[in-house]
Order: sequence, then C-alpha cells, then structure tokens
Amino acid sequence: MREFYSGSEKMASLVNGSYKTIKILSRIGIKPGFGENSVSEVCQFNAVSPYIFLSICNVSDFHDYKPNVEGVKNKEVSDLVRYLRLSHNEFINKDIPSVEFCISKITSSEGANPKHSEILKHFFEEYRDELESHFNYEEKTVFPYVSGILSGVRKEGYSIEKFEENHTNIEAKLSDLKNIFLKYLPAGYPSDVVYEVLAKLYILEEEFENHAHIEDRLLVPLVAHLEKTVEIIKNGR
Amino acid sequence: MAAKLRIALIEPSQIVRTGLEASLSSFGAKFQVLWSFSSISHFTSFSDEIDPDIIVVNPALFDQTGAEKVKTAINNPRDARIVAFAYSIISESLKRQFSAVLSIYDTPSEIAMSIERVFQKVIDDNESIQSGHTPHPVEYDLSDREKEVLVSVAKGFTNKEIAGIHNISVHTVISHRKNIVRKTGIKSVSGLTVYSLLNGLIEQ
Repeated sequence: MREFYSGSEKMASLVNGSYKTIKILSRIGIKPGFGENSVSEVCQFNAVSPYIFLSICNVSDFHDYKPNVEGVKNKEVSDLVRYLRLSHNEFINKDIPSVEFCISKITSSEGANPKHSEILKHFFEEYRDELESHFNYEEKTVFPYVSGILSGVRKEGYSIEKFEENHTNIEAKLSDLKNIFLKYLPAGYPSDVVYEVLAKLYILEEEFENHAHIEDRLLVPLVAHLEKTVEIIKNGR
Repeated sequence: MAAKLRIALIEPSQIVRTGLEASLSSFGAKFQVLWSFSSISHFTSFSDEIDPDIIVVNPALFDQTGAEKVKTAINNPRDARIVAFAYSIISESLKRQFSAVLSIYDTPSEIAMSIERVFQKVIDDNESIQSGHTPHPVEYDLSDREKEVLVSVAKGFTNKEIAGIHNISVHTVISHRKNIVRKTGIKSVSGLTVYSLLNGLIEQ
C-alpha cells in the first residue's frame, strides 16, 4: 500500500497519481503550471496552507488516514471552512443545475411518458430541496459555530460532536436516482442524455461521499481539538 | 439476447462457404461465423478447442442411409445444435437427425430465421434446465410477496403495520425489505416509490 501524500513529493506526480485532486486544486485556489516544484512549494506560492491541502487529499484518497490535530492554526481551519463552502457553492450552483438540465431534457423528450416524467421530476426536486437544506444547515449553523470557536467564543448548547451525530447522508438518494436511470427507466427516453446524466450522477455521488469524509474526518476532529483550547481559556478567566 | 450466436461451418465448397459466411455476417449483431472447415475430419481435429452454439454442415458428407448417426460422426462435446445445409434432396432418416434443414435455394433471411429458431430453442432448453436443476437460481426480479411488501412500503406503512396487513412477522418484513433493496439497488422510501410507480405497482 502507498504511503500518505507528503509535502516533499512533486505536485505534478501527486496529480498524475490521483487526477481527482484537480477538483481540490481548483477549489482551494492553486494555479496550474507546477513545473518540478514540490507540493509544499506550490502551496506556498499560492498562499495555501500545505497542511490543509495535504489533509484534504489524504482524507479523500486514504480511508485509514487520521489528521494530526496538534498545533493546527486558526488560519488553517478557516481555509478548510472556505474550501467546504466553495464545494457547497459548486454543488448547488454548478453540478446540481447541470444534472437538472439533463433531467428536464429527458422528461420533456419526445416519446417520454408524461406520467413517468412527472414522477422522475418530482423525485429529483425533492432530493434537490433536501440537499439545499442540508447545506444550508451547515452554512447557517455549523460554519458560524466554527468561526466562533476560531475567535475564541463558544456558543452554548452546541458542539461539533452534535453536528457529527446528526450529519445526514446525502448520497444515498443520489444513488437511488442513479439506479432508477440505470435499471428501471421505461423505454422511449433519449439514451444519449440518459448516459450523460448517469455519468454525472456517478461522479457527483463520489464527490458527495468525499465531501462528507472531509467534514467528518477532518473538520470534526480539528474543531473538537480547538473546542478544548477555547474551554481552557474560558475556565482560566 | 445480446450475445452473438457462434457458428461453425463444415462445407467442402470454398465458394459456398464464403457465400454462407458473408450472408450470415450481413445480419450484423446476431451471428458470428467463427470457424469454417472443409471436411468433417478437419472439423474433428479442432472440435476440442472450439465451442460453437450451432454447427452448419453439408449433409452430403454423411451416409445417406442414416446408418451412421450424425451425432457420432461429428465429435460434438458441447452438444451444439447441428443444422444441415443441403444442395439436393436428402433422405428422411438423415433429415430427422438435424435440428433444421436449410436449402441452397433459401434466401439469406430465410436461413437466418431458421437458425434463429434453432437458437431460440437452445435458450429455452437452457432456461428449463436452469429452473429444473439449479437449487438456488440467482433471482433478481422481485417475488410476488416482495412486490406486495414493496407496495406497502411505498404507501408509507411501518414495518409493524406491513406485518399486520400481510399476516407475517416483523422479522419477515425486514428480510423482504432487505431483499428488495439488494435486488433493486434502491434504498430510500421515496426511491422505492418511484420504482413502484414506474413499474405500475401503484397508481399516483
């Protein structure tokens, strides 16, 4: 088995070995043109914390990776929150609309059974609403709570543990939608668009899974660690 | 049926062989003439290495009295169906030993249709063998009971309610639900409702 990614390896070979890193690079704001530079060097040129970039890559690609929470800086956690918010933005404003566009092409196609189309559209819309409220909760409750911790204020009656306990699965229904298209779509729908949407659903399902891993296995332990330090300051006063 | 039908030809005339290959290949997705032989002994020398679904053979290569059986003359370990391709009249006793008899005057589509009919019989036979002898056939379609449970799930009943409706234990309901999820790949109740609606198990 491969070792975890480290700051000394070349950025270009990291991407070559795992092309899905491209999404991470783009969201975290690292510009292309790596030359022979190492991961740490490229991160520093782009004013990105190598620690956060590497932790995201490691959580994404290695299931047994545990981040080292000791000595984490506030700036690094706020970078991570920024990354997660950019991901939400991309899901809601880019990925989901592109799936939605495919679905409306499918359901409005000639030869589509209007009754079936209505069922499919309704299922998707219901899912989209659930997804939006899932992300909304994180944007309105979880991230502000984390910002509070970073500025030394701990909101009463909430902890990052609560978030982890109630963190709902957002990819299960997406997988259902995928299987419905793959196995049970009645005849008469345009196959090119159906395959197009299937490809998007597979990628998105993986993205969502990954996103949840980053929240559960990176954000939660980091914030849980910081929670302790905030409490110590409070008790000391 | 997605798989192509694999055909072996045994025909002494090269031009007839070429003609048969070309005509059958023109039916695109259905047939594949994978092997051609000029004589039965030529075929027999390869018969352990090939696995045709159907063997098309010139009946003139056999004893017209039917005394020597076609099945013994052709070494056919995998029990492929044997179809005759005749230039002239052949004896009744010989005819009976083939799954079908094609004539040199048949059109390519008539030949294709006859071969397809034989092939269909191969599938039907295989299916009856499977359901008859395999103790636990892999079953992906929902059983009638599973469909009933699915309809109740889609209507929003709880496991306990479903157990009451169908007069089965909660444990059985759970096991049906597990099988439904495994077979369909759909986990959420609303996804299962979509499945039921698309398949006409429930009305909107």
